[in-house]
Amino acid sequence: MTLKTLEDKIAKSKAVLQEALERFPGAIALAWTGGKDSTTTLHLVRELCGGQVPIPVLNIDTSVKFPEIYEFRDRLAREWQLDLRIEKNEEAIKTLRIAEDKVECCFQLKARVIAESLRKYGWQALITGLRWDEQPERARVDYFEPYDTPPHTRVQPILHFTELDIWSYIRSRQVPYCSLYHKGYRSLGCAPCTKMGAPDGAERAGRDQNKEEIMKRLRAMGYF
Amino acid sequence: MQAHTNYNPPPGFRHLLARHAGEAPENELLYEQEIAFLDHLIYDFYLFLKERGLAEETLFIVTADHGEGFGEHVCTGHVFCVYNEIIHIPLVVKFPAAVSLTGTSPRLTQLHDIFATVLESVGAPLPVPESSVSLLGPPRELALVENLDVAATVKYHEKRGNPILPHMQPCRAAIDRELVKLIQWADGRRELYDLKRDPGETTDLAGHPDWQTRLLALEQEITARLGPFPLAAQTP
Repeated sequence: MTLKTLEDKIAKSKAVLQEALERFPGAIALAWTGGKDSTTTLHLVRELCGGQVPIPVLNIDTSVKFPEIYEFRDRLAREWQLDLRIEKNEEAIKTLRIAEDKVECCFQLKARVIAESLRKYGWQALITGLRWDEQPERARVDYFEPYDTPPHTRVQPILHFTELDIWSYIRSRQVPYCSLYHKGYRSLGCAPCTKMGAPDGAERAGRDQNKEEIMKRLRAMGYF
Repeated sequence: MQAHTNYNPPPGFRHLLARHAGEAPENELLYEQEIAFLDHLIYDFYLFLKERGLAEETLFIVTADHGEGFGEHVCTGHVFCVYNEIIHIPLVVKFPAAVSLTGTSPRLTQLHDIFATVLESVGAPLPVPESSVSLLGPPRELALVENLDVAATVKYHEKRGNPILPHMQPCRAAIDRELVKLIQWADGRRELYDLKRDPGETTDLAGHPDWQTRLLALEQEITARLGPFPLAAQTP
């Protein structure tokens, strides 16, 4: 299937989502950060399922997200009546020196929480808003990928979306998005490791570059 | 192809304007002839678009990244200061035929606004940053300008033994919709001008009792948007 137009890409994403929902009934969730990509993914599920999101939505709370992200998350969860599961590593939040060791911080506050959530709820699959063009380390992943920490399948239905596709989708469907994008942010992470979009044109240039370099290791730990 | 030092207009544009005693300095005359040359080239390009039948669908914007000082307020060139000779620049926009916007506009605008204007004109879906106000929408309330990164040029002058003058320091300015302009200098000096009556910024109203409320209001606005000034690192 050649994905030429935005509508082609949407159809492909919905086909991936449809297959995922059929393969993992009652054992699949969607990881939602409040950023533009996972919100687009969430909206695609909602469109596919007749205006509601029939699966749990996992939000990893690192405690150091931007206030605007928390506000957006809570507002949309109310408006779309999401089955929102906010999970966090309470112990690490109390003891960890935030962002001092980027790998350790991401592992403790994100990857570990994802793994714990999968175990806690018995999910066999997790849908994410990963995109091929976002980061070199993501360029080789597939729509369905097996993971083993714990064993589960990552479902990545918008891999083929570009940054412009995301905004075209958001605009065409009037999807709500976080106000931080109006302040110049292009890619949203935790506040200590995220800056405004840089003029060099890379979407994730505002994200901590040390972490970008070690993305392969982080992904092996379960990060998305 | 630029209007810049060393003020060297090409032959054919070098003697367009004649200097009379007591008028603009020679450099300013050369600079203006450079601009005449640029005008000629830009118009030539516009004619090319018209001849190719592209002008109707083209968003054509002519502007500049700065003006040039010729000693109006002690500074020459454009590295220092935020006086109008540096920041009041031309902005000519020819919208595609589909946009029925013509004539001149007195609205307050700044270069950031071109970004939002282009996005809106081409229907790009990307979110417009708060700092950019489209010329196709309501006008901005406040124009802001910062000239903070002057250390390298100061060093350049120090190395050559040139005198370091009071204007060779970071500064910034805010202009409101009534065209009242506040200038803040890193050494704490403040200047206030009523650009409607005094576009050449010749009468500083910062010390005038009638203008204190306005001064304070602009100080609060600029601090709310750009933060306190000067930062410790900017203090000369």
